[in-house]
Amino acid sequence: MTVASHGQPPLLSTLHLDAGHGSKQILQDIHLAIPNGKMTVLLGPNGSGKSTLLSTLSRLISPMKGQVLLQGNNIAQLPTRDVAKQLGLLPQHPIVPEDLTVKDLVSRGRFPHQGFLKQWSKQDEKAVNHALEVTGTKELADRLVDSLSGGQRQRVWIAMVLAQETELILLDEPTTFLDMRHQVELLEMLVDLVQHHGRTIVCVLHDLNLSLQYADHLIFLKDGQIRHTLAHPSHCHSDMVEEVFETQVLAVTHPETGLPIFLPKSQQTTKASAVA
Amino acid sequence: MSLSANTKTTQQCSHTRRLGFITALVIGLTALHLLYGARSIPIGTLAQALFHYNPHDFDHRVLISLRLPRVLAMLLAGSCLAIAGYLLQITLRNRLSDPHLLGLNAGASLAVVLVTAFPIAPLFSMVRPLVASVGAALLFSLVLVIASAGKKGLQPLKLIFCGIAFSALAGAITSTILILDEDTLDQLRFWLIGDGAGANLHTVLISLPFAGAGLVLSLLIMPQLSAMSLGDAMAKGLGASVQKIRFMSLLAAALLTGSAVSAVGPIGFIGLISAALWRGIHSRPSAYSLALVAITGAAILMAADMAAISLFAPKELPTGALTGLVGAPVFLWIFVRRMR
Amino acid sequence: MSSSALVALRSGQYSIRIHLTSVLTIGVLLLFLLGLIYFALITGSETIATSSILAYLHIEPAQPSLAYQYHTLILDAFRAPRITLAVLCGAMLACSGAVMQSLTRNGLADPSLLGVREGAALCVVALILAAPGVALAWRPVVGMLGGLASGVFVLLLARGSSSIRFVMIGISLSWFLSALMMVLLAATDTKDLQTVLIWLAGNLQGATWQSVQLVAILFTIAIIALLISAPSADIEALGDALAISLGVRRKWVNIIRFSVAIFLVAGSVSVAGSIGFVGLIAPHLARFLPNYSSRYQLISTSLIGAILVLGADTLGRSAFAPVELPTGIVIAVIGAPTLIILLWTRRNQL
Repeated sequence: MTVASHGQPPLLSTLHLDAGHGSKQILQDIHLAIPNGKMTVLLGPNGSGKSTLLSTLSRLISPMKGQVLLQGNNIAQLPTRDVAKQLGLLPQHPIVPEDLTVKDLVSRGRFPHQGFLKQWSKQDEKAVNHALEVTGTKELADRLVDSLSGGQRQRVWIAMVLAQETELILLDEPTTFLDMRHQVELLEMLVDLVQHHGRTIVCVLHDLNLSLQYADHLIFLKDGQIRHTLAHPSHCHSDMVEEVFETQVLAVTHPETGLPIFLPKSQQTTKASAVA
Repeated sequence: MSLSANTKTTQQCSHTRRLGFITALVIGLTALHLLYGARSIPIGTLAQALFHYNPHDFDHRVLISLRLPRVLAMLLAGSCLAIAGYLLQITLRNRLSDPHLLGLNAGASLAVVLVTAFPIAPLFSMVRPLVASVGAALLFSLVLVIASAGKKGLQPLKLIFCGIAFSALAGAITSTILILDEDTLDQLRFWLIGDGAGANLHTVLISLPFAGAGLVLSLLIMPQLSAMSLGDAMAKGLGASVQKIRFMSLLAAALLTGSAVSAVGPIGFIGLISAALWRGIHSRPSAYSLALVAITGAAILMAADMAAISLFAPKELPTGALTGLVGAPVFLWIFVRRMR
Repeated sequence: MSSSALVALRSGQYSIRIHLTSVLTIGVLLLFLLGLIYFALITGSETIATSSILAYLHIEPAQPSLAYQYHTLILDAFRAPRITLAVLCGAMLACSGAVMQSLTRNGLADPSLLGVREGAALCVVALILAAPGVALAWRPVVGMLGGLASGVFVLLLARGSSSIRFVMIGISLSWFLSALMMVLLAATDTKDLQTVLIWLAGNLQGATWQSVQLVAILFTIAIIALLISAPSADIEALGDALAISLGVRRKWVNIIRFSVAIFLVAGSVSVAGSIGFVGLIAPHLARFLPNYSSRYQLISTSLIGAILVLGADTLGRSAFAPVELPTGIVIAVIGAPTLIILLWTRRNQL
């Protein structure tokens, strides 16, 4: 697990990482490398430490032991603005300030590239317009963020992170609170960013089956440790899922993509088949 | 079955012990307060003065006409403020609540100052506790309305900020009146900083009925408040009318604060300190916890008043300042403990 | 806040961005303030002619008449320093209020939560009581030191960057100090007490050019620090996580902004007593105006603060002339209903 794809050293990796909140340790000895130019999904049951891992990767939490490496350098020792030009994050609960238009919010993603006398370069303008286009939020540009629906709002936040123009984008459960249509739209957008815009994405998701359809690379966490690392979703088996999520599942194949899907076995049907 | 009965008796036992301890403390403090001061009086004289009052005996006069009213005022105000604080804490589910912090004291003071400066009612001195209660209720309603308005609803921090802002507002208007009207300033300056020296039997007696009404009201709603401590939804499920209970609780808090402020002036932090001293009384509100908090409040105010008299004797400090000096760090301590 | 009014000026790698509507708003506020200053200069026990004012400002040549000399004296010794001080104090209080609200992300926060006002007031009151003979010029210095001492105490105790902790420590310190103040006040004669109360309520009567100098320097440094850190504050409004990931040096930005707020309050309290509510009201009023970012917001807020305090002071000294009302009282009386209406109108943004 130290060699990343594309033959280049990984943008983001960790060395024997221990981390947690306050004095409570959650992650134990996390040693991983995020493959460049792919979409990596972190999966695991509640309390497995997947959000903590994402927070540590994005330097919201400083590790108790070990290091997070950004292009081989300890992220804690890099100037925070330099990190912000390489790594963007969409947290779970960003705050929407009052009276802010979509374009203004997206423009704030340019912060790490700006300065007292570099307030609005041509590149700033270009990046913001591009981000609006890619996320399909151009026609919302002059609307107030407050007035948008959940799905639209999430796209706007992603546009803001895109305007940051970082190679790496980390997202913490971006599909929570979205209905099915908006979940699918959002994940397809992320896949598009990876495939056509050269971004590397790390994403915490709740939904195993959706993850399997869209991810390139999967990391299963349980009790603060990495249990399985899969280079392709087709490598996922029902015994892995049963072990990590502690629930009986049935594996089926998606008729179009050929990728696995796991259905929970109902207690009633298990009993029924046992009787039969 | 037998197990739960057993725990119940142990609990009752510890209840009785706690109550007994704190009551003994209050009685001790009261006796000390009566006997010691600028002039020490032997304990025998106290009994004599109480049962065979001799108006020509100087010690008797000191006891009955100076110290006794002050002690009674402190007992009354301490327990009233403690109950008011406790009610606010349960009703708002915020342990940092206190009549002083949420604007009740400032409202009561403003009302009293207003009525003193513009003597609207000739019988004013008879209804001072009522005036104070109305002031407390009005300003506190304003605090509550603003703090719970808006999308985010009632949040602990918002409530405290609101209480501070509106207390400051009422305080500014109060000092405006005092600056413009020297007579009122002269009349009320010691009362306004919570100085017990001004207490007399008359102010205590007129406060009593209002305090009593507040106490009865709070005892009546105690069972429902207990249900509400499980959350609004749960309380509704248990058949309590949440809005009504909340309103009655705030009314009781206003009455109790009004009576206390009218008797001894705006004294802060008693509710905060006395409820913080006992573990677990917020999770199980009952008549017992009410009594415990009330007696604790009386003990604290009594101790503060004694300290105010004796710390820099013969110079006397305002009692309200002493509770503030202790209460402010206690506030911080409660906050830090809850942050962990 | 339409972003169409944005204009970017670029030269090489440097670029500046201007929001025309915001600039226009600030211009209007500035004009209004200038008008108010003019009105304040001419009004008073002695009405002063426009020509004298222009001559005083070296715009017109001086006249040799006695009346002119008398007018110049009034302007230079009383009105001009007082008006300048009102403008500066208003701007300082408003700025510190805006900073407190943005740091706590709470529209009910105001500079009084810092404990600085009480610290400054306590020291000045102690000075007034302990050494009534000491020259008035010492009051600002002592107040400043007291305010800074309590501010530093809060900063040290709060350590980290949690603004809630900071505010809670500030609140309890301010209560503690006001309890100490009560102890002091209890030991005072009623006559002295009224002097103290008037000082506490906020008063610009004793304005001198020395105190103007002191706060002018303070305000300049403070507003520069705030304007530089304003974009970081805009990012912090999006939440702690995004602020970190967008590269805001949160700890430093917060410490600097809190320190600036402390300096501003200490400065204004030490020269003008504790004028309340400006810090709470001015930022809310400014948010009704079309300000694009917190840089413009800050400038508008200071102008509104200046207008409020100067307006209140002018009203206080002219409405019931020859009786003068302390500025703080006028603000409290006008501010009370304003505040309630404002908070109700903006209840969703608190």
